[in-house]
Amino acid sequence: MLRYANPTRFLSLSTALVPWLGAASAALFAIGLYLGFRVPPDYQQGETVRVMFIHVPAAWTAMMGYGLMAGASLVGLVWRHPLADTAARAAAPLGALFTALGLITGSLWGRPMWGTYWVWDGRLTSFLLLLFLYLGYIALWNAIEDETRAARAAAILALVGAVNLPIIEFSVDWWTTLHQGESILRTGGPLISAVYLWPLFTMALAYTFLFFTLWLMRIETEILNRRARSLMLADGP
Amino acid sequence: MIGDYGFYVWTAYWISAAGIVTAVALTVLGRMRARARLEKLK
Repeated sequence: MLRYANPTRFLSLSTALVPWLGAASAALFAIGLYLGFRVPPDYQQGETVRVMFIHVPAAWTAMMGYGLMAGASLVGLVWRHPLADTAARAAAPLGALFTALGLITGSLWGRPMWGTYWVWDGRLTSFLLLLFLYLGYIALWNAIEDETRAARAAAILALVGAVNLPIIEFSVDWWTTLHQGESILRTGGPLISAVYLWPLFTMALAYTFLFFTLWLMRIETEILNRRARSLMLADGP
Repeated sequence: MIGDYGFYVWTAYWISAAGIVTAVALTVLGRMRARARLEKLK
């Protein structure tokens, strides 16, 4: 793993991986959408069950993104590796996007099913906090001019904010929420029918592959931009 | 095909598609620009 912490080695690995990851993601999206629109309406949710196939993967990807960002921040903070800081920074806008998509699609599912777009329950509020953490992280990076100091401050925020991940996960167990309890990744097996699990897992894989494709590309872009800045500095004014 | 609640289902899908397509476009353009800039400096 450390072998690829070298930017040049990382670039060669990333350049080779990105087309495959992108193609896999596109294929999984095509299969997931096909399966998702073929399943019969749910006996309780009706047609809105199809929103689950984009809402749940977006929410999972948003949380995975934060976990990766916090992990990279920890590596950057402890070992002071610039590639780790770059990786953490590159994950933030993607995580913010998937969090926003999770919130919007969840609201659009909630209106017909709960009778409201929004309620301040444990799950929804902690998930909204996740969006603010992402936005705060991005703002902090942009607010501090010195990159080393910016990376350190943002890493601390990312690590403190990581405490929100278990809160999101267990909020439906800890508090009485309008959001339903854990129904997929639970001990004792999923509560939802296998008919709906296939499109859900296919779309979850598609979102995950998409996240990694875009994440690697964003890290690559940042490495190339740093090289360009170094060349400009070397050339002088 | 989707009768009841079609507005909510389609809006959710179109917003997700718009978000994802924008993210892909910005990421690809950003990488292309970075590569071009570096090539020019070399």
